[in-house]
Amino acid sequence: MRRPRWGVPASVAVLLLAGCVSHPVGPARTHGKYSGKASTTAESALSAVETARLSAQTGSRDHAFGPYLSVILGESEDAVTGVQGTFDSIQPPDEKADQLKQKLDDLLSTAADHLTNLRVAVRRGEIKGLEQLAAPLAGDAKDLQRFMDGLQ
Amino acid sequence: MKKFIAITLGILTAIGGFVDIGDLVANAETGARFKLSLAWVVLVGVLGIIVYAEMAGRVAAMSKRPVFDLVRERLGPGFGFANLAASFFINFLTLTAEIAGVAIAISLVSSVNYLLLLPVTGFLVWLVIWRMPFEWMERIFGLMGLALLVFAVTVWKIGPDWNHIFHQALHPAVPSKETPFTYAYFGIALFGAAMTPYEVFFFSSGGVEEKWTKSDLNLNRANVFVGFPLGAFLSLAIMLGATLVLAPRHISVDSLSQVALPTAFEVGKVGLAVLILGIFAATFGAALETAMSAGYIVAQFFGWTWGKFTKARHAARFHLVVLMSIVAGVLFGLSGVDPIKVTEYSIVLSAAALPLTYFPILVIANDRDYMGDEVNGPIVNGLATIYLIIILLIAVATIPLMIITKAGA
Repeated sequence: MRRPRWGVPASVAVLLLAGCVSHPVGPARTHGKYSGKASTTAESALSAVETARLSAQTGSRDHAFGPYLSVILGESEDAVTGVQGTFDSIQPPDEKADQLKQKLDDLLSTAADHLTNLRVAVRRGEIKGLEQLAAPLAGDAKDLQRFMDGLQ
Repeated sequence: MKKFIAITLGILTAIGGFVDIGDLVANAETGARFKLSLAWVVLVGVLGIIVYAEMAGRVAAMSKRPVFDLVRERLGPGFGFANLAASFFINFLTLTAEIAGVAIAISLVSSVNYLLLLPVTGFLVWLVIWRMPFEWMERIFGLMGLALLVFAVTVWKIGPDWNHIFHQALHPAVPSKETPFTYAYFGIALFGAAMTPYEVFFFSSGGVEEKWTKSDLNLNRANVFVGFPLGAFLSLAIMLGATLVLAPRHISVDSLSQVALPTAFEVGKVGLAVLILGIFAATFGAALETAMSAGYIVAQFFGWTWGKFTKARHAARFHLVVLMSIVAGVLFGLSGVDPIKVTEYSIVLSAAALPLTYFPILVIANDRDYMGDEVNGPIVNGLATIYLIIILLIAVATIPLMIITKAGA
């Protein structure tokens, strides 16, 4: 009697489910690949920074309530620290990549600090002052954009 | 008058029930990334679901048998089982995403981590299925889902340049930062979100549960022909809101909270509260439908007694599958998977598996033994065949595109 062949469909299902994790990591064996990953990381961080800026503006205009702002700002902070952790786990293939890593790491750490300030403020109920507190994020967004432009 | 109220309620329910987490995420994500260059896919998708949902409803009313019951009979146990395994897996991913969507909606008003809310959400979904009458389930969550019309209010408040909007939508092009592959991948995601197979499983099983007859066909057609296009209007409003507010700021959609940001920014606190209610209703309603679809397809395939209209002790295996699916969905959600990624995978894989669901419906809808004089006419057959070809092409292209684009990254 033939046994049912479950191996292939089961492996496909497991692979697909494994793809559902937040920040899957792939290797970078050349400088080109590494700089591509740096660009994607900066792009994700820029999205999180801009989300936080818009949320802060929304909060200051009294257009959103505290719990919502707390969640969205917490997620923005997690997004930046998440992509930073993922990028840091990729080994730079050469010395030029080391410099790239250092530069992006600095940008991400600065942005993460500013996002932490926002998250803390909203959890303290300081919603009116969010836009002012988010002002440094405009600089972070410009720096990230410049970083991406420099890679092209 | 009673009939008019029934039709109106049915249409409103169809509008509210059209959107689920897949539509929320796919439309906002594509709007933020591709602006309106993929809006045409929503229209193609809604025409497809109209053609096949009407057919599935007609098959249920005329044959008194739901889709999966007929799949095994028509396709044989081997192919039928492969169909069951693939459909169950995709339905499971969708169920997980919907339960997570409900938990996230609650977390947006409570700021409690959604992971802590997942078990409570799973329990509530099971409780409603166990205790609430079928018609109430459909009506309550469908009507509450109308709160999502606040997306349209958001667009109206923004007051966009409609000439520019129509020009953008009518002249689709791949944005400079994207590749044709990512464009095609997200097109498939939108198509899959509009034509999700569980909608047909639930629709046809619901028709059998409610004992539809030939006299109910007009109600079925009104729901599908009026309710679904208006549901698609909601999908386009989500896409447009993201295009106008998120895209210019380089914001890509990675979470459900970002889907609500255009409304909060433009409409304010009341709009945000209404929207979160709508997200809760849409995802809760879809969680009920996917959980019950899990029970429906397994019970119908194996020939077990099934349905909410049957006493629970007579349909114990159906209820057990529903319960275990909910528990497994909650556990998978608790494992730390990204709910948005699960949603993306579920809609894209739905697109890949569409022929498995829609081909048997087309075959049966042409069988006079089941359908009598309600077999497909030439126009429906022509449209359904065109869609079947599209669906087959999509099924072949989905997995390679998923690999090439690294799941749309």
